[in-house]
Amino acid sequence: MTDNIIDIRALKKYYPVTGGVFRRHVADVKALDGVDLTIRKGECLGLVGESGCGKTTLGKTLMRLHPATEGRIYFDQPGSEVDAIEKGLVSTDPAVHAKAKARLHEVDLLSVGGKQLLKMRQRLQVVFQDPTNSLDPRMLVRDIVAEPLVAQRLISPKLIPDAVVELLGKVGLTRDHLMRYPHEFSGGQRQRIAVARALSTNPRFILMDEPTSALDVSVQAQILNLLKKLQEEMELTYLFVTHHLLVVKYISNRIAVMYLGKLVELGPTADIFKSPHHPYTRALLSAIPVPDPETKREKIILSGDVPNPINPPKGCRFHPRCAFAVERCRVEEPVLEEVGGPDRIVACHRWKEL
Amino acid sequence: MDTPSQERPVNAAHPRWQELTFTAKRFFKNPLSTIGLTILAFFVVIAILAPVICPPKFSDPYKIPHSGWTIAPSPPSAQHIFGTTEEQYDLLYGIVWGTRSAFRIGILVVGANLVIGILLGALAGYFGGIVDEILMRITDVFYSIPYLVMAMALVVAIGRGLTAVIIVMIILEWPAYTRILRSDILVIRNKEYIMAARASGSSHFKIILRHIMPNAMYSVLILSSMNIGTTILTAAALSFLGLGSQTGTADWGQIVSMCRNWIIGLPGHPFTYWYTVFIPGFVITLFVLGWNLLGDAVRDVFDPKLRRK
Amino acid sequence: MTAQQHLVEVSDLSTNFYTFEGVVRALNNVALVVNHGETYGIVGESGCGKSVTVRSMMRIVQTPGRIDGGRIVMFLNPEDKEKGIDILDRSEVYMSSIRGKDVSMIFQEPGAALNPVLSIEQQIAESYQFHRMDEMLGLTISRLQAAAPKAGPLKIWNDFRLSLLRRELAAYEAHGERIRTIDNELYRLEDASDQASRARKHELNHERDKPVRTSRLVGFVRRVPFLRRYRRPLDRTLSAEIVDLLRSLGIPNPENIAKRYPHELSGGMQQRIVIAIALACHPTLLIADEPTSNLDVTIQAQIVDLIRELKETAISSVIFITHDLGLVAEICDRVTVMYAGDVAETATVRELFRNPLHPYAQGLLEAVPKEVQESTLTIIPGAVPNLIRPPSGCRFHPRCKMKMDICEREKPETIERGAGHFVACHLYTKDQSND
Repeated sequence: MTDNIIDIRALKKYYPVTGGVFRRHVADVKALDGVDLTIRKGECLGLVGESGCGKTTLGKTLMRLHPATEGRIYFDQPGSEVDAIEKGLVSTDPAVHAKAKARLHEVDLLSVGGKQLLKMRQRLQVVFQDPTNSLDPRMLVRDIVAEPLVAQRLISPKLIPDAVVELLGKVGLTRDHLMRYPHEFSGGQRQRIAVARALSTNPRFILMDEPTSALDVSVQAQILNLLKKLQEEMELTYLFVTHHLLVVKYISNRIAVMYLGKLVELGPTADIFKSPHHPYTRALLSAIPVPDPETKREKIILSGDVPNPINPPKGCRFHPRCAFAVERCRVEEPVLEEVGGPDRIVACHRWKEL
Repeated sequence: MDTPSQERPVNAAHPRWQELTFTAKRFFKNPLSTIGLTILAFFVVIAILAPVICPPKFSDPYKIPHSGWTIAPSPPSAQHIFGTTEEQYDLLYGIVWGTRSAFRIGILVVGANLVIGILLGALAGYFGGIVDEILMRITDVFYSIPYLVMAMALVVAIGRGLTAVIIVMIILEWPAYTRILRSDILVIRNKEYIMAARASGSSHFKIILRHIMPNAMYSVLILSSMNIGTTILTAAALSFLGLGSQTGTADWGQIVSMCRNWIIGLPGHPFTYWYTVFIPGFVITLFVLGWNLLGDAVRDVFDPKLRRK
Repeated sequence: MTAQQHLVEVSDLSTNFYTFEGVVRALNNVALVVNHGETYGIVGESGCGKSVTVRSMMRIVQTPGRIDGGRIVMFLNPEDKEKGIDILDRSEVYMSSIRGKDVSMIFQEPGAALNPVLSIEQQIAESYQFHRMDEMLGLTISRLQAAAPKAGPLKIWNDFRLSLLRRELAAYEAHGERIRTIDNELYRLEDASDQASRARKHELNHERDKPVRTSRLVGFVRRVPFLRRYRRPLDRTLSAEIVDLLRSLGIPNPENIAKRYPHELSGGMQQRIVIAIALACHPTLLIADEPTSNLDVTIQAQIVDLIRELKETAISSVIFITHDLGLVAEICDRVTVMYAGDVAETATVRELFRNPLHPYAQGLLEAVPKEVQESTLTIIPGAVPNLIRPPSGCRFHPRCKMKMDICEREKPETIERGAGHFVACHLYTKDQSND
């Protein structure tokens, strides 16, 4: 069994909605409604979906930037360990249950605190979408890149300047760029600085939250190639969150598709593009504008708008917009099932027929 | 390879120094700011040289000496360059030493307000939730206290004097600073570089100190630089109403207060005692003007929309 | 091959922004031609000037920008398609009369384009009230006449309403007549440049700018609280028209949507409303400035589909600005590639994708991830230049793989290489001069 570096179980993130004079809790925005996802060591997993699907929330909850409502995230634990804890949590034997819970506090990313949290911050890093906003405009580049090193006290302060220069070199910047402010750089360069900062702690895993969406096309290519190179060189694992399907095709090994807070399809990139099973994935793929005027493609135009995560439709969440919905879809929510192998899963009642 | 947008030699001065010189240049480009700064520099010199210009006659240098006991003010003469006010208190002495009082009041009040405002504003803005709620309700309470009532109560409690004035102004004005800093922090708190700092493992304290403060300071700084002027005005008003320092103290508001009976002048000669009103009034106006111009210039220089990038 | 009718001819357009840091030379002698009945794409990266170009076309360049040279000739006269007007010569009042009516524009953020305190109906009605008032009055009058009561106080009220509305209509018609006469003379004088003609043109433009002269009676009644209700039927006509318009755009439940406010609608729906406002007066040209960049992919597909449909039925030409080459490939007929204020290449979409000539266009096409991606993406080294101190000669030369000495010194001329395929690059002017 391949090693999973991240194992997400039953992740839920609800934002409470208050209403009325007394600000009672009337409803929840169900940004994430029970997501199970595993990320393998050394791979680049693409996470796609449209607004409201929860992909950004997933990333931020994983990084403990938002508190999760429910769920467990295991980092770099052998599969057997994870299975044991999961079994223990649902066991009826109180001793086993208690033991599982205690163990959970040591390995669950969502419940660690203090020193453990700091260790987690060393191993998991993040690159954000907007390079203008993700760098403090009043800090020098040198301090921005060194911040994780300083905060986590990983190396002696004397060695930090050289470490920073080395990091800048890795992303294609030079010593000249050390003592400057972010606004003196172009968008692409700023994103490189953000990548250098993420690499500073020598992490195992980097969350890429739409890293190229705010960049020009030519710069996007530069950054994507850089990310690819770094992944190989430093044996990193990426979770690449984006809405741009051709970008995710270029850089990821596997793709996970989310809709309205749940995972609907998962599989190797080539497979997903060649034979998408879920109707939403199909619509998504057919809607991509392809930079080739010769290809004529039958577009599946979805009716209606992306629905609101406050009141997701009953049954299968996609059924109001699905051309293939039947009675069962309106009533029963589909579970993720394997299509062929453990590598390929989809949540649709009718995938076999379509 | 990427070239930076601006070419600069490698051995250029430290960028923070360059920032400073750039800001200073922008500051002095504006003629009004230069005027403001000149006015204030002039007052600073006067304040420093007070013992030289008007050697104190009593152990407490803030007691204005009076040459005689005639009630009516005397016009400017060789002995009293600015004239005297009621009961022959020397105006020049009062004005010169009053400069020191003015600076003291302004800087103490605004300084204390800044400290309190920053502390509480940062707590409320950064942590939000119940801390924020509690602090905001407290500021609400302080906002609703009527100024004069508070001043009078305090004077009854601790007696007349500049100390009472200073304390009143600190108590009643810190909410404004807290609110302004808090609102700036609310905007910054959601920016991605704060999230990046948290993902880097920085502690809350570090984030507030290194990230939030340098970015949120501007509004409060601008407010405070403009407020020093109005603080003096308020102090003068309180003194005029009798809630400030004792009669005969070197404090501009107090001096204006002493001219209360002489504004109208003699029947038939309305402005006989113009110097009792005009001279301290003019000095106060000039002082406040200087601070206001400075505050305007500070705002223009630091306004993020007007800055380059 | 049928000669295409020009709709807009832009030549030698230069627009500069006078900022604190210096003069940003946003457009550097830009030239392009849009024909009737085509979808024209303008593609480029940030800072290339695509937005500035179309804003110059509509003359809505933001301060501190100024159009500093060139000609923008629009062929909007339906009777005489050959007669063009240089709109840079015309007054702001003239521009107001064509904005929304002959040329409409939609922007990137639909939420920002809609006024949050007005209902959808009120916002669309603005366009009608400004441009098609005479039509609306006419419709109202005929409706009231058809349903006229026979006798009694209702008849008196109805007659009163009708007479006032007729007066308003007469004023608009008179105004329209005046404009037409003035326009005819202006068309005749368009190309004349002698002293007398210029003076006459100036006089005519001034005359033309004067507003509609409504009768004093109407002006008075409109201020009287109860009597001014005579205009209510007009509002009802407007509502009906607006609902029809929304329905034709495929918006479900249009009567309900018309009464709502922008914040109650989703992004895709908002963009559709923006399109509705733009199309209220059946413009000849629709300019879309990155209309789908902020929308999800599936919603983008809906909007693009809608625009394509509208081009068949309601509008003649579309100028579509985007940075997404995929969209260009999908809906545009011809496309211009811009770089840093220069026009790099212009061609039909097929030609451009098959045979890009300009090194920048080539680089761009190679840098975009495609469906079938064999190798790593080739990158264009460097970054977009600062337009306050743009590179000399050809603005792309610092990043160009095939740079020659002349590229630094001289800006290349635009030459035609193949039918309708224009490129501005020294690689090709060299060839030409060698022939």
